[in-house]
Amino acid sequence: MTDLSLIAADASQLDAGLAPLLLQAEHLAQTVAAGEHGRRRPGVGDDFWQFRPYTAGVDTQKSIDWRRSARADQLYVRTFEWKTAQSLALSVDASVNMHDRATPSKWEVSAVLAAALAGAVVRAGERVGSLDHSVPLGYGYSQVARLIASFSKDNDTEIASAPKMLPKSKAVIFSDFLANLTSTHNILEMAHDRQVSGVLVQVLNRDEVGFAFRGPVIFADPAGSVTHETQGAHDLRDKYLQRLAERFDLLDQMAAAAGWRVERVVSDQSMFNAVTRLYGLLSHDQVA
Amino acid sequence: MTIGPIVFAYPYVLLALIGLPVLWMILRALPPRPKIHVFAAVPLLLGLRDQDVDKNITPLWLILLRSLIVVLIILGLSQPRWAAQSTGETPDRVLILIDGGWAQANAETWVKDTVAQLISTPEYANTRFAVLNAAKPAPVVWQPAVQTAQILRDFMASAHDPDWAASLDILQQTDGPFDVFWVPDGLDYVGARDDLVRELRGRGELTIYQADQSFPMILGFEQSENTLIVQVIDTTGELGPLDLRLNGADPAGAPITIATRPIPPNGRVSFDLPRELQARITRFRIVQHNYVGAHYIIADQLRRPQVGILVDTVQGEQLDVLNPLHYVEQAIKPYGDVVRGSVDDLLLIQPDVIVAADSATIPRADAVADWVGQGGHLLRFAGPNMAQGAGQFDSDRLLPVQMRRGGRNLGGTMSWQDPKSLADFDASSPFYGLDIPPDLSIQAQILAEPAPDLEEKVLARLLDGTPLVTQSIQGSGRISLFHVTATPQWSNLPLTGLFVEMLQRLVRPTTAGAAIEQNPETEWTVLQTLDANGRLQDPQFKEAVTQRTLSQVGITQRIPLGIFQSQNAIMTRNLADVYAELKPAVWPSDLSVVSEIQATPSVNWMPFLLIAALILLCTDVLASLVVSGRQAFAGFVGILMALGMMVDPAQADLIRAPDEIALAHIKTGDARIDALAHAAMVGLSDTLFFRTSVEPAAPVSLDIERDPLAFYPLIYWPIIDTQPVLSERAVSSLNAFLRSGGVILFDTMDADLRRGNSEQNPKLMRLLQDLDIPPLAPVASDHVLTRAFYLLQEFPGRYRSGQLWAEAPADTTSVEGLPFRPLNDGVSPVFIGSNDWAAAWAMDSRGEPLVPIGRGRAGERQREIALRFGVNLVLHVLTGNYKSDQVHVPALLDRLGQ
Repeated sequence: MTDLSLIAADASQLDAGLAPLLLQAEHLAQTVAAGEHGRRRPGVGDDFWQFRPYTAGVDTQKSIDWRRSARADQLYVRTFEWKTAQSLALSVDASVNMHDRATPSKWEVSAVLAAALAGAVVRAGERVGSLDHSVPLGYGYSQVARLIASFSKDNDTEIASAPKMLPKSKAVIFSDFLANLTSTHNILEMAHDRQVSGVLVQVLNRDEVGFAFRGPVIFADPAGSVTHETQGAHDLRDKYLQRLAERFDLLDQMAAAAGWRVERVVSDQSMFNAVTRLYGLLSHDQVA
Repeated sequence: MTIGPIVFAYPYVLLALIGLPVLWMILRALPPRPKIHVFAAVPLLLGLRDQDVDKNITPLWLILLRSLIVVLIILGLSQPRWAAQSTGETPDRVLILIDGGWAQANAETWVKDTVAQLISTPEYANTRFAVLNAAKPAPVVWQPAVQTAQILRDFMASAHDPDWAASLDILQQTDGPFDVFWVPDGLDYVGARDDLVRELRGRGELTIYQADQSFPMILGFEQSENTLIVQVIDTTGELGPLDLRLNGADPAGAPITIATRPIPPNGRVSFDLPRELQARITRFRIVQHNYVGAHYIIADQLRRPQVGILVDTVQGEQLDVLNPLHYVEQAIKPYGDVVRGSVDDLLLIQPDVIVAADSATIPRADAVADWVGQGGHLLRFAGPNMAQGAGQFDSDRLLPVQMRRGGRNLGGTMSWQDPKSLADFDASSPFYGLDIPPDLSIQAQILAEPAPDLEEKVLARLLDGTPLVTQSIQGSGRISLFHVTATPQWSNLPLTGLFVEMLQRLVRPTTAGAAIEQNPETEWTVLQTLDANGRLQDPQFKEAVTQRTLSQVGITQRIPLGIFQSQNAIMTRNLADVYAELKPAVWPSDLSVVSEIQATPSVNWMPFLLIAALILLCTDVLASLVVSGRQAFAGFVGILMALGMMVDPAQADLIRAPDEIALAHIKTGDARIDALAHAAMVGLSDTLFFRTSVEPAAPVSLDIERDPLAFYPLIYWPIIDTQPVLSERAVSSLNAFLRSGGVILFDTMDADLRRGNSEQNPKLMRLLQDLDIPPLAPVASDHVLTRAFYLLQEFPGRYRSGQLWAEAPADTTSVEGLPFRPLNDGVSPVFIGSNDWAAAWAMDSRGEPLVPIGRGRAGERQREIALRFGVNLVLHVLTGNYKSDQVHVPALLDRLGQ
């Protein structure tokens, strides 16, 4: 199966709603991705890194650079810059919570950001896939389309049971992290075990951040299972914001314990800034 | 019910206020409905409690606002009024006594308004009223104010005097105490109603509401050669600025105004009019007043009789003094026109009287006899010729009695008898009451053959009983004979004043009224009656009344004012003939007389209260939205409400109308007729839409008292018997409509059958008399209406026999070379007909006709023509004389060609 046919197949799977997202993500990725990047240390690669004296027993004779050694009395070995292909696993929470009524919705923001990251990573020649392996790690732009298609599937439960994280890979999880945090905690523990580092991107909408309600309101969660009725919503604002701050702290602590970072995005803010920040976090080894 | 100065029309509604506390509690228990908001962070909110429970139920001001709304609605429905003049005690029953006679014709509106204002005062809300019209006494019925007001709405002054005796009878039969509002006409009835006043004061409080008005009356006239002087007086003794108008007929018989003059303070109005014009006067009237005293009808008192003098051409020229009829001519000249001529000439002229001097025969006797039979009056004088010829001509029908041959000489040399004088005239004689001069002497006469009917034919006789003047009725005419000569040859009668007066009574019977009045047994029958407004009507009762009765009785239903006819005379009975003087009423000083009621500021507050409640309700809606946190929506709703208040749905038709043409009809109040008229307008509109470029909008039903008319080009008005009298406002709006180019099609829907003897449908007459309607004429066959769109020759509706009338064309002369007269430079403001066009035009929503017309195919054809008439009418209204102008086109084309 060639890449071209893959792209064609996947593009056909993209429904009309996802195509604009892909386009948007593409656009964002182009502004961010600046090409391949080396590991800035010697290793397996194509680019010259340095010559160093041959150490018997450590280096194989095969690795001696004869042309350089001929110009001196010593034997030299040519080392290359280490250039391994990184792999990035993405996960977007597609639960009903994410599909709020704002435009763009939290899910849309998450999906675009994730796809933009994927695009940028692919452009850098690295591998990308979904965290739950519904889209296996792979190269090429066809991955981006496939990823976006997979984001629209509610894979909430599969995140919790994603055991196949590649050791030492990187992961980005998009969610609002407003529901129960147990599954998040499990994933982080698992990631820590496999030395996977990453970013938790908490996407919230303006109401959730600002809580600008007045008068009598019945609050219902999107699934419709939980409601809370109040006669004076304004009075609840301070208490709510306090609880939200506590939730932020809890998430920060969990992430820090696993060596992850937390990035917060409000859905009506500029996605360009968000994707730049995220890419920076991933590419400059700030994620350990 | 009354609380302080406030009166409640429906006080029981106020009981609903008891329910207010309950409402208060319910409102407090029901907070505003919360808004449902989908919120993902609900888990964070779980367990949070509202800070202040009380604060979150309905705010106090909102409850107060809603309670206020309810209070306003309840108060509004109880219809409170402010009754400033409330005097506390209100009577249980009030009798409204209206004189109702001819004297109230001037004040009909005042009476209606005053009484309506009186009884609609809220303090009389529980009072029962009865109306007693003294001119039409009927047992009283006690009714609430509303029904009473409806009865009074149709009040019209009667043509006769109030019947005080009958009214008193009815009052005495009415039980119990009651207060009385008396609305008298303001005239003094010289003790005729003292008993009534006594009876009324015995029953309860009596208040008199009397219009402040004067009664200028036309007393009579004096006539001389070219001057006519009309005498006017007034009850108050002072004449206001009034105008006197002379109405008459033009030579064709159409009514015209002959002259109008202001009335000077002394009441003597002088007109310089030639005799011929005076003869055409039918009525004097005071322009500013409309009651019967301001009218003075004239039968033919001013008409100059035309007297033909038969000239025997054989006799040739003579000296005037030898002219056998010289004395007759001199006697007649002051009041009549004298024409001389042969029989042929005179028969052509058709004079009122032909006078023939002594002659044995009259040429062309048959023609003359025919003329007499058709109403002519042949007056003959005896003489030697007749005396010689008498008896020879037995067949001579032109003598009232059979003559004995040879004359009779009295007091002559060959006679043993003295000249005779006249015996006193019989009461039945037209000469009754004339004085006989003592020196009268008759020397010769012709004797009549004795006959059984001779006695009846004698108008004047000598002392010995032999006839001097005889008369016989021939067909509808008369033949009179003086048994003496018209010259002093046989008697000195022609030289006396008696001769002049006798001739006058024979030649001019109408003015003989003065003499006939002296005969108390003369019987008169009424020809036409005068109603309270001075209009001539057909009489209700046609029975003979003796002169004595006429002079003794006032004006009753059976003996009205008007034109009376006796055997050979016509008399008018005007108000001045019955009452030589009208005196203003004098009331006992302890009776309260009100001439103008102060407008009671009794405003019904219901609309204001309900509007206030509505405004508060809108406020409440906005406030509720604000409270539940929907400011933006509240603003939107607020703007919507403001817009809603600005657009009045009732005006929607008006807003629409100027843009589009809409046909309209007047609502008559009869639901069936109104529905038919509306369907007719729909049918005609559809027809116009399909066939012409006129595309009318949906037709409109108009209430003549309320709706503006100005937007409609053509209004269809079916006239029915219950058509109420128009209010001043409606009249002025109709006049404005007609003046500004509107057209009304009146339809009496009776094919001219209902008008009976009178000229026109009486309801229509009553309706039209207030409107500015030009002289009308039947629509001529070359009227532009016959070719405005279709070529038509008749204008049928459900009927086809009714005549269609339009404004009379100003110039009726035809112009050489033009196929049509250049008429109708403009559109007639009214079309009047009776063919029930509504029935022919009416269509339902599917275009099916609603009323069957005629029979079969001919009926359908008639409906088609009716519709074509409608199309023509609308196009005539819209295009004016456009089609008339078409006649000039050939001439214009000719000129352009050169």
